[in-house]
Amino acid sequence: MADRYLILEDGSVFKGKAFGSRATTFGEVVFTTVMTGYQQVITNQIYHNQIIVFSEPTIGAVGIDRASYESVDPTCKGVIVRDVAAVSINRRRRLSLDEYLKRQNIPGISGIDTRALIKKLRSTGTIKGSIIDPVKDLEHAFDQLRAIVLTNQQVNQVSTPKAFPNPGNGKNVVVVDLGLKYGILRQLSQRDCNVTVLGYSATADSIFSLDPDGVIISTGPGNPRDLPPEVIEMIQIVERNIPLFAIGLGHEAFAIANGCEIMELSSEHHGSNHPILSVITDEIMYASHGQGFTVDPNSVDRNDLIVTHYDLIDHSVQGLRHRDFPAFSVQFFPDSSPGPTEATELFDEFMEMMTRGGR
Amino acid sequence: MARSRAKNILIIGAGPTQIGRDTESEAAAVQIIKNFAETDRNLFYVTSDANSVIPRLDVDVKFIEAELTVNSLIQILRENEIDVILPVAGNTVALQLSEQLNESGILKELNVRTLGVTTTTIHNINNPELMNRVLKHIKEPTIPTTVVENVTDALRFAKRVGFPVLIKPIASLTKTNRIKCDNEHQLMEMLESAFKVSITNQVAVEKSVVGYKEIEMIVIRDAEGSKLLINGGENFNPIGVHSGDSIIFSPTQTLTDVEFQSLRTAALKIAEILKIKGVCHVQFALDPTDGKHFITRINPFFDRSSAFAARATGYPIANVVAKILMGQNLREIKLSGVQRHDSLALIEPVMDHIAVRFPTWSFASFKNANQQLNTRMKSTGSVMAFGRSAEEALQKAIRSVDSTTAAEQAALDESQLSEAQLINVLIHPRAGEVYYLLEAIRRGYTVDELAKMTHIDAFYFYKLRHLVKLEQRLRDNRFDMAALQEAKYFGFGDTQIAHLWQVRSDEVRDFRIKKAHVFATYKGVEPTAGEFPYLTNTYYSTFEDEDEAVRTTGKKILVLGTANSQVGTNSAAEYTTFQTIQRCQKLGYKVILINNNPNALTLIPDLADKIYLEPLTVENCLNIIHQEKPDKIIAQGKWEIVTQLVLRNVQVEQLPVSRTTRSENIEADYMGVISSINGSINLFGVVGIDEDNMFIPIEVSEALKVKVDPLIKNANQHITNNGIYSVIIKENMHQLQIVSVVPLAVQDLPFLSFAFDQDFAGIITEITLNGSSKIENHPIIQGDYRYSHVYPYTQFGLKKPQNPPFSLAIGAEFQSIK
Amino acid sequence: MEKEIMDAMAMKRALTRITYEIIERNKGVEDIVLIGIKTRGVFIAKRIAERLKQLENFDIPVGELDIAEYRDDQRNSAEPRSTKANSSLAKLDLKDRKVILIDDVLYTGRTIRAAMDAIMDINRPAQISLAVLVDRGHRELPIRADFVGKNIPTAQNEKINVFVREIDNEDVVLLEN
Repeated sequence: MADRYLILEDGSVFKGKAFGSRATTFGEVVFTTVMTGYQQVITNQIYHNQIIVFSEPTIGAVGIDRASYESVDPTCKGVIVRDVAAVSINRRRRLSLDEYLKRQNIPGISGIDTRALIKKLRSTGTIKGSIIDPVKDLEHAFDQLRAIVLTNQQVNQVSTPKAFPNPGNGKNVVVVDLGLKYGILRQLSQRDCNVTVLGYSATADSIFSLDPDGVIISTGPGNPRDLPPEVIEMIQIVERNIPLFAIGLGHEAFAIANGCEIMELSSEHHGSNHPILSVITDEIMYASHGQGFTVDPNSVDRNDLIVTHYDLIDHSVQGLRHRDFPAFSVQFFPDSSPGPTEATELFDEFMEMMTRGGR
Repeated sequence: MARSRAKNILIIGAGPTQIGRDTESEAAAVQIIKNFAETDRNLFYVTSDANSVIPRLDVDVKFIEAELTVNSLIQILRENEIDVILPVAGNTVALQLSEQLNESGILKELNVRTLGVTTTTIHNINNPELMNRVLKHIKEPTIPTTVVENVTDALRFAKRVGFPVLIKPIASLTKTNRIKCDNEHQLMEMLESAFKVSITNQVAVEKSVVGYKEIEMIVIRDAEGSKLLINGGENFNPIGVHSGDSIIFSPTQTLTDVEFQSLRTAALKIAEILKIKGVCHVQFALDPTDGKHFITRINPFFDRSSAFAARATGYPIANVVAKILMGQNLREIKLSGVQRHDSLALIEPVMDHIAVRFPTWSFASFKNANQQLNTRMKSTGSVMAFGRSAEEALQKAIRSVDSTTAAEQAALDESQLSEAQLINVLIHPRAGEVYYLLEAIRRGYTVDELAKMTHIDAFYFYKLRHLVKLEQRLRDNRFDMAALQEAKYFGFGDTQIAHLWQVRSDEVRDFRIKKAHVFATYKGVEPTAGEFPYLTNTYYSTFEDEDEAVRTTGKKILVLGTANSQVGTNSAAEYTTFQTIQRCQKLGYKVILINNNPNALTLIPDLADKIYLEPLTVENCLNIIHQEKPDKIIAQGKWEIVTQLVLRNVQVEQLPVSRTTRSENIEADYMGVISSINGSINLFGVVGIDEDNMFIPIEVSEALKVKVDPLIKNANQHITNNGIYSVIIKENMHQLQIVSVVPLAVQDLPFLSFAFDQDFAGIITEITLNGSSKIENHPIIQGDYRYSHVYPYTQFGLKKPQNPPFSLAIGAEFQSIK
Repeated sequence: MEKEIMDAMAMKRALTRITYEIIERNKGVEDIVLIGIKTRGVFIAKRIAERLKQLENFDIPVGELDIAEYRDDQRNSAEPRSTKANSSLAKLDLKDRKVILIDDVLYTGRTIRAAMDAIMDINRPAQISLAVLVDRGHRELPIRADFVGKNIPTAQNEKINVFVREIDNEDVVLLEN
């Protein structure tokens, strides 16, 4: 295996071995503590422009599974890990992680002291990094890294350009794609929903013309403040008329649409180890998180919104619900791919909300 | 319904250590007792384990030595006005006793409650049929099983659930085991004889899950129903080999997220339906072809799996559970190490290392025992190791095995095996299987062939093959820096490398440190994988960039731990180390411990000031000594390592206790226990020795005293060093004479400490470190009991001989002599 | 034959949704009084009150109503009604409040009618609405629930059994036929 370097904006250099593509890559370096489901993480479009560090030391043993994609064309910029394993035999027909990343032109680097790296990221917060071939002139590489400006038009780059259906026989649901995670579609399929996925620029009128029973605003990458104002306006109209469920970036957009401010987290939070309190039932649950931004709790207008979920560790707002309309949102990923299954119940809640038929 | 607050709590222990039960239950009990001691409850602890450390804890707990039977417990409940029994720190023994107590009606009569697990749950756990009903209720699959009266029904069932199936005659005339049938032909053949031996002409047929992956999940639940997963463990061997005899990896290595989450969800559901207050271990069989699972075991108590989970993740399971049992909820309990204001015990542990538990054997001492692995557990101890890759963790585990077991392995020269012998082991796994697997890879067996023959996931063979490749690279490149660096990175020890280079290990060490500059670095074991700043006192070594261990300040002592439990010294050795640590701390030392037995008492949090959870090898000791620069190093036994360290100019204090047990062949009548300090002799007391060579504490009568005293004075001539000694005395024609004077044996130490109410291990430690110790005599603890050794013959399928040597004992128990 | 219609999770979800709907339809919860119809309606009312308390940090009064005295199909209308059974209710100030009646199963509507009679006997609220865990159809009176946990179409000869953990050790709804 060839040598590769991981360099960070703050001047640090980590030496490791190549896997996946051999391209040079730039991105924000973020870490995740999920222990299973690396494929779901790597193919999640929220990682657009980002290089993912896994705290789990060994990934790759279950290969790439045809049923576990969260997107067809993953847009993350790299994978950093301690050790990559070969695919085990009962997953025989599967592609290996190495081969998959090669095909997707995503570079990986293994043999990294990921614990040391994560402890560094914990204190620096999210910083830029680059995976490169070993070079003599590291200064030049650092100059290039510092000069790189990552796009803020991420949703535009990952959202579907054309509407597409995901047919079923039950409730009629429109999913607005801000960087869709297929787990959401899987949950709707399991509930036999007839789904139409629209691009992020869908207007309220185009949604209404499909006569949906409910609307889902999907997860997606990047800073919610960079979303086009039309998305926010669309939410403001739709929430008054049709049951609405917003997730991840969609949740942040829903919050903005209802007057909340968004804050940047000092360090991005990816993992499923934080307890989440469901306020109404006073119960604890777990779900995958993947967030760099959060709703400022002081900005929530309690006359319009109810905070339904909190992270009990960092006290971040994890769920909102409108007082006057059947509309709710969660910051975490309720679709359990990867991660704990208890929050999939929120899709049942959404189904029952649609059954009631709104106002 | 408001209940009156419990005042008197009885913790039921697990009894003596034996195969399948190390000190993990008592380790949990110690932590629970320490937590409860801060409340106003009166604590009682009952066990028949003569090696129990509970009587010597510095907290308020009444220790009751008694046989673990329903009748003796009923008496204890009455005498002590017990309100609550706690059955979760006594393994299956305590659970079954609680079930019997409940059935006897005494719990109702005396208004005694159970804590941690309800009587209904205990009842369900003890009755497989009821348990299946509960599982069906929560829509969890149960292993399909039926009772048939003819061949046609059996065949129909087998076709429906798929071969193989297990059959067992019902109400059999002879003792029968379950028989595995792989196909229709076999089933028909076996049914014929099965129907013949059944009085009722009935045969139970069950779907076989042999060959499935075996996975364990550990969860915690509190009274209000909050629950979390602590971790998952994956057995190296598929179902068919007892989980206690299989190597186990944590986190799980070969499960998809969907599989993992389905097991996590099921384990949490089970904790909920059983209303567990505390820890619950759920064992699964996972079909490797379709990811479907069955539940094979539910342990709502502390066991070796929860002990391993606590060590592997760094999550203080027993301390958290103790608080739950005291009535707190998870959202009120802090996770003590997290360095931020909100640090709830509800943070689900995540790992950035791989932990391995590895069985150790005693077949060198039981040569006639069948070493083939099956559903009956045969390993007598275990070790664990950490690494940052599966290769590293496994290599370290292999090296963790103590020298006696290693000697056993050395006797096995894999290269001498015939092909037929090797294939036999591949198909019928036996103790030390992994060495045979490595040899098979060296001989060119492919990963696919091995996976097919063994049903072990190919993932592990890729890892083993990698090790063999590294081995070859080392052989081909003597004193090559890159080869050395890579080998160290994947867990090779200096001694292993020396063996491959055919040089002394010191040469490898010198080359590694002076030329190649390859040094061990230490990483903290903590349950957040670096997400939060975390104060941990447990470290493991690896060969990466960052070193997290900071040299301990102040007066410090390095204690070489007991490592895996072995026959002979068994849990008595762990008892002694426990007391040594406590005494060192009283003497003002910070204690740095090296140990690697996941079940060890001494590895509980809040005991040692710092723990290196590392293989007890010369290389590691030298690395840690270099890292910590301890003022003193103390060991009990561990002669091989100590000798090696001394050769390298390291000064090690050896506790003067005898590892060789009292010679069983000497006929003796009494044994006096004395201290000899600077020429002055003190007699602590005398025990009588019965026909089985076992002790009975006796009150020394005036007449006996008059006879013994002058003898004891003479004992001095046998003694050169300060210490505690046993004086073995024989009575001949009413004349007493000394047979021998020997340092107190490790095996006898816990029982005699109890009988004489002394901290002998502490006294010996203090004498070793300071030259002397203050001695006070206490009244002897009288009772109708003796102590007797526990042997593993039954588990090995061997007949117990007339007078088995003490060196084969695996535990010791109090016995009533009424 | 018994069939499970709702498990504990589904019941929990239904109560959660009803709670949110109550918030949606009532601007502010300060005027609300929940009245549970004995026996199981009371436990359901208490659970909804708990949820409202969690969300709004406000204690919603919960009354218990025994309608045995008011059933038109079970009682000789010549006898004077006893109000003793509902003395706890009398302590609540219902005047100009928004009363939400809560029961486990809505069937013929006669229970609800009786409940309304009982409430009117005590005081005159500003508004009465109805929340039920299960609506099984077959109404004999012009009564409709404002908040429904689950609509379960049934045959006349079938039976709906609601179990609650407070007295039945378990949350489950069974359909018996």
